[in-house]
Amino acid sequence: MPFRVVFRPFHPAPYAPHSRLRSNTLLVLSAGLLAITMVLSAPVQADDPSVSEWDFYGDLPVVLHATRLQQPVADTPASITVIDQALIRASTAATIPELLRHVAGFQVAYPSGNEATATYHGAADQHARTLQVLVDGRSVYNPLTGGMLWETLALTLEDVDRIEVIRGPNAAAYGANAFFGVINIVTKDPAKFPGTSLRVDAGSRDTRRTHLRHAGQAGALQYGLSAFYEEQSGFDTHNDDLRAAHVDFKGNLGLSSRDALEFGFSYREAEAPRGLLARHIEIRDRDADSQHQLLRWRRVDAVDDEMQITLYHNKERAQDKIFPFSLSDYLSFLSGAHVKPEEIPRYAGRPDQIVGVNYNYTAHRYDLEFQRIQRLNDALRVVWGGGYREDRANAPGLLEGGAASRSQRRVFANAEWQPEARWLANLGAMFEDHDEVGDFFSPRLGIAYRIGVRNSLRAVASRAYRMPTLLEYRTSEPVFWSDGGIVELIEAPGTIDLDLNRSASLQPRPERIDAYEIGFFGQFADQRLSADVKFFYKDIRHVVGQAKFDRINRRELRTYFNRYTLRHQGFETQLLYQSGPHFASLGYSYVDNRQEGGISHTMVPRHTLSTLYAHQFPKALQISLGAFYVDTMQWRGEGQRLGSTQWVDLKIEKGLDLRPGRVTLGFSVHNLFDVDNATFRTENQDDRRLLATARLEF
Amino acid sequence: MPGVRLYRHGIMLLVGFTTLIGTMLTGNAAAHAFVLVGPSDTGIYRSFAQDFHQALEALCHDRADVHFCAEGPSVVLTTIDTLGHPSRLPAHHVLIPLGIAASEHVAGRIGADATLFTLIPRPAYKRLWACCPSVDDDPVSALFVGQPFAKQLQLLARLLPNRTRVGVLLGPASATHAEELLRIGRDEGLELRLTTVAEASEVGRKTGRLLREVDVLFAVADPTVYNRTTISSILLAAYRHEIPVIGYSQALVQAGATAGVFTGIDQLAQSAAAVAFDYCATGSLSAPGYAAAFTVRLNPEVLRSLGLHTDDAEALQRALQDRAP
Repeated sequence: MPFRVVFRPFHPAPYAPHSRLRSNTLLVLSAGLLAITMVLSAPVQADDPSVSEWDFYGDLPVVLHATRLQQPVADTPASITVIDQALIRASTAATIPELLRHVAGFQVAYPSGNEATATYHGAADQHARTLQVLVDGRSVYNPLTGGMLWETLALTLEDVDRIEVIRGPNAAAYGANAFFGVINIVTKDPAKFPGTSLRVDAGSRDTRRTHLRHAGQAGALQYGLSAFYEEQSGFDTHNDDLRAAHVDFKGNLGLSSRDALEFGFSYREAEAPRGLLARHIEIRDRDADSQHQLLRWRRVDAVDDEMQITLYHNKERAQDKIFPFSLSDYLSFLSGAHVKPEEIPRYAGRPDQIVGVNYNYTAHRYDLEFQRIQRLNDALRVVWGGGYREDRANAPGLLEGGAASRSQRRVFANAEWQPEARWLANLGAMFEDHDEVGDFFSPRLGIAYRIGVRNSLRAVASRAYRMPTLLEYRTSEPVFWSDGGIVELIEAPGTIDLDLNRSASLQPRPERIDAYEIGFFGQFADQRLSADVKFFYKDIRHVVGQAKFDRINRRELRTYFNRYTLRHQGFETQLLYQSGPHFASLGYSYVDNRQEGGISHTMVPRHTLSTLYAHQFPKALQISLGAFYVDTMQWRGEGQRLGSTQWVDLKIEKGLDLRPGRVTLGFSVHNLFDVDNATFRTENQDDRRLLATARLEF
Repeated sequence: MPGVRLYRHGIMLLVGFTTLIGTMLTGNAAAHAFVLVGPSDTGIYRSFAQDFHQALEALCHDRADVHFCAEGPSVVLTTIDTLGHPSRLPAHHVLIPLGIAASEHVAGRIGADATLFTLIPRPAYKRLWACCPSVDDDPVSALFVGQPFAKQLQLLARLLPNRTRVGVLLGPASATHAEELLRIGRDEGLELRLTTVAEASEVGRKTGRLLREVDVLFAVADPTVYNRTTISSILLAAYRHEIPVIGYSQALVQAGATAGVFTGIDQLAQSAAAVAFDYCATGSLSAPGYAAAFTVRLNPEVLRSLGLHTDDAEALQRALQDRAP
């Protein structure tokens, strides 16, 4: 006779295993939010502290899952530089763009005192459109102008856990605009970095910064809140002071052992005037604000079995109050020579009337994405998904018709296949359908071969596109008389003559890159030294350039069209050494740039070098020295050709344990020897700057 | 009256037949039934009962000489609520309370041929023994959840031979293990640094401090320290400091601990079935202890992310089995 297992009816038991655990305007707003979060973080006490069977057989949420775990660089068929906490602490950088100087092949410049631009392998203006920038998976690429407007980012170094920089195209994973590379900023997880910190900076150029961060836990909610205020004066030659403040909130609510809801928002407000004082035109006050909201649902069943749906919205807005300028100033700016309006028949007999431009804009990005990570078997892991994005911009003085929008639909899949321990293949592709522009397929194949446990060889081939921005595609920059009428311009001597009819053919096609690299990653000296070396070749077509004047329309300040072809080949290395009190990093890039399209100066520096050495002395004293070199290059757009620049940075930090917290006092000097360097334009003197820092953590 | 007699005979025959059928269905009154009592008959308790049943079947496969194997005693999973009616239980039974709530409920209240407490942590069984002397009137034993500290520290020492500074977070429920842990750690050549937290709100801060002083974190079950609310802050802080975590449960390894050794619910049920079977066959209960069967589980993704290269889980398990006392 078989055994019988009889299950008797169960009435609700008094024993519920999981019930045991119950678990300025901006400054005022942030203070209020901080107060709320402090209250929320009141101690949560377990009802019953005794150990039970549920401590051994109960569910726990999967904390370290695929999207949180860092893939070892040796297993990644791509060139990646990881800026982690150790590098951030050792670095002399005080801002995120400055930190990127430690990445091989990166150039960072300041078009004005309140703007930064960071590019990989040059070929950039004040907006480095060839880099995709993500913050916790959210694209912060500006849909109107393209590129990353660092001054709009409601984020400081104190909020950053790590930055993963992919040095090469990766549209297969991140879509169009992951063209020369991807900067993936991972902010501090409240659960990983709990506590409260206050940082105060003061230094040259009237720099004052205050950053307050608090992260904690209230029941199933983990939260982090940052508030920041900064002010500084810029270059002597610019109207570029800065006053800005922002708040940023990040929450992670555990819904069950499998499900979590992540949400966040930020708001930043800045007074960031613009304009070159010597140029008379375009000098303006400028109020800018930006915000984002993000909602992400994530279900994690196992390390490699998760899905997520992400919805976010970015908004950027700029309100200009342009100072009046004269027609003669404007014509002189167009021509590069002094032009009097009365010498031109069209304006003969008219007074040198006041004209203006309108740079006001509002840009939105809405994005919805589904992503699934699955391990299909021991050898194969896949990430696949799809998304929808809508970009909208309203800019009466910049866009044809005053507004533009573009939607994008995408599907993607990336497979990591490890047929045996030594071989790892990474095959991915993204298919995108962009309104007006068309359909694009971006594949990527990477193969890594392990040599021993910690060394690997890799070969990567990829194709990626950069979509023309809304401004490049729909540009219309009329100049207005003071009564609001549009000025009909004439051809001014020295402007670029476009013998093209204004038609669809003038609207630029997407830029395309085909990139190939072979590389080596190795760890030596008992993992104290890591080295990444690669040789690369990039073929970049249809590079969009701009002209200042279109004589057909006679009213365009700028127009964009496919103008250049670039071919890069070169060599790059990133070295990192950590042992006891020593920390050293070196990034070097050599690029042989061949360009076609009527420009004589190289847009890519041949040599770029960054070195860093930090030594940890007893009694929590650290001294860091950074040395940098960037070869001659031509910055595009408003930028200029600059000779080579080199400088040394110094930072001294001293930590003090003061119960219940820890104080770190720092002093840093940028351009220690005050070398005569220019940044972006020849008149932007990047002279010696001092900065004193005090950080309190408890 | 022949009609009435016939009617009476008919009733007697019917009762007799019903009794026979009933006996066949419910087993011989002299045979043992295995009464599993849980706070519920779902989840881990149901899984335990099913695995227990299957294990008994397997044990009986070659043991026709054991009387209940031929006659078929019942395996009954009941709940604390329905246990309020003892008359519904067979006269002879082995009582197997599952978990703390059921153990506390039945301790000393219901007569049974023998009682085998299981799904119960060792400290809880000790507490029960101290509070309820009546439990030792009948043969009583226990199979604890988890694995002994020695086994877990052996795994740590073998997995990470170069990491000898071991951090341990203890809470109100586990603070009493301090002396034992230090002693076992010394035996394994490990330097244990213990930190005690009084409440869950201290976990984040004290974990951060402890992680700066150690190169591996050894998790000891304590609901104040390791729970669904605190687990992410502990694992993420350890990951940030590149400190591996050695866990005590499958869920902890799945959540992000680097490795763990534990007894699965199926393994515990099989061990309980073996103990109960031996009692029925021999009349004696083995001493309280941990299940001999255990599983070593690694988290390969976390190992990879931390840059750790080790033997595979099977090799580690074999090594621990070879060392088992």
